[in-house]
Amino acid sequence: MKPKVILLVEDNTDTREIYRTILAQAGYEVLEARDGDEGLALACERKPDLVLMNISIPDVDGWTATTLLKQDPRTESIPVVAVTAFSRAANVEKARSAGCDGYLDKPVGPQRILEEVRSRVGPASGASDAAS
Amino acid sequence: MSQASPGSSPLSVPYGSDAAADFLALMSHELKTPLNVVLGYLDLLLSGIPDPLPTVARSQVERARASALHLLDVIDSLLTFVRLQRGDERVHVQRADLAPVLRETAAAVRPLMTDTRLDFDVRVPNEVGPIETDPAKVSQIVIRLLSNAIKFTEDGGVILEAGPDGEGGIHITVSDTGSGIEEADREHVFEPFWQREPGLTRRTGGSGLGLTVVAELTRLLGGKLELESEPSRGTTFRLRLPARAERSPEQEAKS
Repeated sequence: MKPKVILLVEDNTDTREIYRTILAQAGYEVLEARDGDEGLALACERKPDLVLMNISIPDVDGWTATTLLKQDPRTESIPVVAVTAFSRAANVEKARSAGCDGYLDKPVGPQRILEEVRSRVGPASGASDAAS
Repeated sequence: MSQASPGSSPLSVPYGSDAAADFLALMSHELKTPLNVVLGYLDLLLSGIPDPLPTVARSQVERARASALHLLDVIDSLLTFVRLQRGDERVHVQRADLAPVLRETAAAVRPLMTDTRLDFDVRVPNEVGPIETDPAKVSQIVIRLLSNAIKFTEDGGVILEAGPDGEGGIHITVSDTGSGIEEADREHVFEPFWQREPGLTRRTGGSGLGLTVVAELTRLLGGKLELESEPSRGTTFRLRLPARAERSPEQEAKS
């Protein structure tokens, strides 16, 4: 069975590596994008099972990228979880209006990322789908 | 070519300006991003990736993580203090059950307790509230109270309790069996920059801002903070939060 595919949109190389490592260890296939444009292109091309979207990324920011994903019929059904460094309750509202399915405030440790991914798409290669 | 004019120093940018606010937001990002990377790699090591750690290395990595978390807490206190001073800290009121917030907060603080002989007892019922408040700020308050309690406790432990306060609101209580606070010091603990032991020879560290931030955030949420303490027996902080915190003017305008 093919592993579930997670797209990481994150500009910080180290943060990307930390998240990739824990997700790959758990058996997920991990795609990586360094900015919003790359993230949008990869999402259209590969149709991941989940997008983890850092909000403060270069060029197209995470809110805009999420709005664009949710407006495109090819990608609208892919769940998006926003990850933001700015711990503000106002962001919860922003996340909702951009169409994010979930929202995590940094610091988000690797275990927290893994839990969030598991609870949304299920285990890396199981038939069960927690999101449905 | 631009030149600094002789009359005005570039250092005279007013503290209250938008440029200063942008700078603070940027500094928050610049300080926290590398620290989160440090914490992330330490967490991977503690998760046994790529390989399980030998016992001694594990306790060393746990201590490194506790120090990094402490630094994160100092940075948060400092930045919150500056935002409070500038009047930039906004209250975002929502109806929330605080039980999950408190459990997550306790879990985030637990790694600070590197001394395994200490107990950390979390007595949070299935539901706390719901009340109308700013859950992120409640979490900030509780993090500071718990990390303070852990810092000053060498024997015994720390207890986090919560429940209804009998007046429609809730209480969140943090008690410890630590060194306690002398009566003469009690009126000073909420003052900014105040240190129990001044100078660099003191036994316990701290920015001197943690409890100031706690008191000010409590005020913003319309709450009350009571302190009971007995030297060398321990300290109890009881936070009371009303059923409805007042919204900040701009949130009022939107709704």
